[in-house]
Amino acid sequence: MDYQKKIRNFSIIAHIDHGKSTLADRMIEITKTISERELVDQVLDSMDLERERGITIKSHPIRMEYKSKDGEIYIFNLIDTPGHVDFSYEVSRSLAACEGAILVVDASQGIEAQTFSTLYQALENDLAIIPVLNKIDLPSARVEELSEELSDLLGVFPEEVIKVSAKMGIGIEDLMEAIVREIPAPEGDENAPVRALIFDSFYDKYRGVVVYVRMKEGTLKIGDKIKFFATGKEFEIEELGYIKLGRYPQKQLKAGEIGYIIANIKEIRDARVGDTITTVENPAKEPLPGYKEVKPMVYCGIFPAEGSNYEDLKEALERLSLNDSSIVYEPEVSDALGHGFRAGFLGLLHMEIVQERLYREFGVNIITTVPSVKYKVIMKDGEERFISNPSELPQPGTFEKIEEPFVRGIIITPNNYMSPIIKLAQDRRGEYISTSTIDVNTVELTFEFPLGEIILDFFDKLKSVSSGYASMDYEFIGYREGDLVKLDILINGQKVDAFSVIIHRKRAYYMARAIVDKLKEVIPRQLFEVVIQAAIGNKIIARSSIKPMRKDVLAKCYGGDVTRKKKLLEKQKEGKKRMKMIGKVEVPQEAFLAVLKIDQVGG
Amino acid sequence: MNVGLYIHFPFCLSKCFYCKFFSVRFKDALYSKYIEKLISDIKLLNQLPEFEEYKIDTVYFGGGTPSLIDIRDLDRILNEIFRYKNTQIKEITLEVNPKTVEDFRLYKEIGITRISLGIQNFNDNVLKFLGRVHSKEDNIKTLELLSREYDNFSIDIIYNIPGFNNKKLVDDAIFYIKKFKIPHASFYELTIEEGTKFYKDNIKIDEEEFDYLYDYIDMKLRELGFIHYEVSNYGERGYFSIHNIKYWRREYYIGLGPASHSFFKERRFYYSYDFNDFFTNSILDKFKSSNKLNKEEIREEEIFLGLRFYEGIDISLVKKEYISFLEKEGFIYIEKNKIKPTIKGWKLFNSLVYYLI
Ligand SMILES: Nc1nc2c(ncn2[C@@H]2O[C@H](COP(=O)(O)OP(=O)(O)O)[C@@H](O)[C@H]2O)c(=O)[nH]1
Ligand code: SF4
Repeated sequence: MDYQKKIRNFSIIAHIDHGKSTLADRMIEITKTISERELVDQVLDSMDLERERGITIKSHPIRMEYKSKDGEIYIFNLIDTPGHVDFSYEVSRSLAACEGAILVVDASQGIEAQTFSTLYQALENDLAIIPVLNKIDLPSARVEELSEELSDLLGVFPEEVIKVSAKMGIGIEDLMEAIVREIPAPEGDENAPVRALIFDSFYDKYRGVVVYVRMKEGTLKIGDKIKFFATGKEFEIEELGYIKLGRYPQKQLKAGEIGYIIANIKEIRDARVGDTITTVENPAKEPLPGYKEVKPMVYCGIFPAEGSNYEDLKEALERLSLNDSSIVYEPEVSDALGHGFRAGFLGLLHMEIVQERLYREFGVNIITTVPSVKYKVIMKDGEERFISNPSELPQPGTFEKIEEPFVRGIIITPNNYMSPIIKLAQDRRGEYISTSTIDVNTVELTFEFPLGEIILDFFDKLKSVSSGYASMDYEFIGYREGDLVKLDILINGQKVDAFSVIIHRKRAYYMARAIVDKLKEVIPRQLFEVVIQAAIGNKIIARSSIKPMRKDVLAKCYGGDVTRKKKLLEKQKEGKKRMKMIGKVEVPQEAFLAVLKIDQVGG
Repeated sequence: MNVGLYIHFPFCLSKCFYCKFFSVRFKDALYSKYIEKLISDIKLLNQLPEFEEYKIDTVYFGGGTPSLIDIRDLDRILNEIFRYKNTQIKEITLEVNPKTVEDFRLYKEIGITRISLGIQNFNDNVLKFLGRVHSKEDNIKTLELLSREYDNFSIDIIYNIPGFNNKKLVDDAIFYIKKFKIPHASFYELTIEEGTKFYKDNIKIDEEEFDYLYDYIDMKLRELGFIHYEVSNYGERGYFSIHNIKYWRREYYIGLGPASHSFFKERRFYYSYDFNDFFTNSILDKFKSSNKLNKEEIREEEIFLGLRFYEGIDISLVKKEYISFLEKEGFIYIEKNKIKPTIKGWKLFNSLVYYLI
């Protein structure tokens, strides 16, 4: 299989700002994959949102043709990887589509702790790693020292570390040659039954779902009837081909290649990342290993806010889920917020991205409720119920126990931040499991956490106690019983479902105080006294009150001038749009947001 | 059908520190131009078919300081009004500033039936603080002169002055109300309006003090037999301001002069806060360029104006949702299909309205 010898499939592993995009641009340039004119800076990151947040959410493979010094032309397939723990499964699938990875390290910064977890995944996947020091043009570059470090870490000679300046275009050829030399060509029988790994997919409104695949075995052709292992669904291939900047249709895709498939697939859920495609006619016996159904970890209520309505929101969610298979949602009715949805996300970042996309791409304004995980409630009769909406938790006494999801969290951090991190983890009910040394400066700490403790602000906290150096990956390990209670908030005696949270009993008092104080701050004075209470069951555990207004009147209506009154009324009406009536009390939408932002642990 | 006439006189001796009304320092040239334009507008009203079926029954000279109008000019203006063929006068009010008038007999002779006296306070330090040009002594002297000639008159008092013993100030005012048998009083709490000196000086009002004083004034004046008939107005029966009541009842009135407002045939129109608009546009121009209010606007007006008046409004006008709650909390009470405001309701009037609209 000669053609395979010329293929190199790889991705780039790099910390934010270490130069991944710039380097990719240089490679695209040097291979003349697209003309100068087309080369907008940093081709790979395409969503605005990604660019702003400095993370890659969606992978965009790109095929390049490189003429090597040996005179041969090689096919380079560069697969981009998402850069956030919420998407770690996607990362693992992208890596599984490659034979090698380029580890890019900023020569003035050194390797960052967060990079390790992706690097380890790559090593676990048996990828060949090419260490690259970028930004060697910088006066602050520590080329020698970091070459030593990388050589220790990866077991290579310091001379084997490629030194480049992506910005100035220095050392790019060396890197290209190293890719040819170091990264193994793909293998796999082009005549075997088809097994193609889906490492990404997205929704195109004209063509339906476009699936990105790594052909592991066999050959796919236009017109082939294909079948997805996980869903069992069958489709007929309309088009397939390579991906450069755009799509380049071909007649077939063979083992070892990377490309796209269009098969009149209507729903993104039918083409799941990690799933295996085979053919109906000559199906493979087994799917490729490693498929996991991605399950939402974090849930929250989403309700239309100012100027938007339920229908707008519904349509936006429908359209959004066309190209985001990991979001799940179902209708929900809240006493306080009306008709909306309960939605599940991979993590908090994913949740924020969805919220922001709803606004930016669909112009829908929303209020969200406090995020929650999915609890398992075991009823007295043994029935198990899964609850992601705190207001649905059965009354205390009607159930046997509640279990909460636990995760194993692996934190990679420079040594000197160990103690604040351990303290932070313990504050979050994290159970310390082990420490292992990664290199002289870096350790890996393992904890088991209740997922509910880390969804809100744990990552921010972790960054802040480690000056931004520490990173964490987590995986679900099962349900465990917890001393959990539902904390309800009552406003003038009326329970506000949108504010309810399920929380560990020990934490409930702190949280209760924080919520009632926060609400006191954000709810404006009204005609009457507003009493805010926090309760567990029937027991009030915290209370605050907002004194009634004392004066709200224009003394004069001078000379029959009613314009001021009218203006005031208009202002009130405007204000009303941003208010939710809870009983008789007007609660501003900001209140819901403010409660989200409460520091769960304090300090 | 009746219509009121409001005349805004935009000149003062100097600017009080809290004042947001349209008024400038008295200037001769502007003054005569103003009087001529005023008279031409009244003439115009006399000729218009639009006004034919209406009778002017109240006139109100407000300001500014309309007691600065030369008595001969005032006489001319009134004669021009009286010439209006359908006139059937019930009340002609003139706002007077203490110190500007010596002889009230002349006013009586030319037909002014009611005087509204801008006393504001009976404490020299407060008057100075407010930027008023008269003293406590001027106030008392003017009251003596006035009460000799008129029995239908009113005083304006400003209360809740930061830094003073306000209860004492109110007690003083009540004392003089008794002493001079004043049958009507308007008590306005000090409000800090944008663009005033007080606003620039960042003077703050104590809301709790207001809450207390509002109740206290209400109690004191009721003891004297006054009826608290509007948010800030108290009067003995028979002495309410007929003209002002038109505002709350949405009866029609025509406003002449800069920054004056009109309400006529379900249209609202007004002159802007400058001389130019008044000098260049006749009242007919203003009327013609206005639009009729729509149903919803009318309903809202009926609520937020009608509830300022003690007779209240028809219950059918308002949103039902919160009525019983507002009644229970003591902001309103219901009497024969009418919603009426309580003292508590008036203090929080804006919010109250907002629950009912
Ligand atoms: N001096 C210097 N700057 C570089 C080099 N490579 C990238 N940069 C700069 O580093 C910043 C981050 O690069 P980018 O490619 O966006 O990083 P990414 O977040 O890893 O994709 C940008 O401002 C680049 O211009 C380099 O070789 N030398
Ligand atoms: S006298 Fe009246 S109108 Fe003139 S400045 Fe003083 S408060 Fe304003």
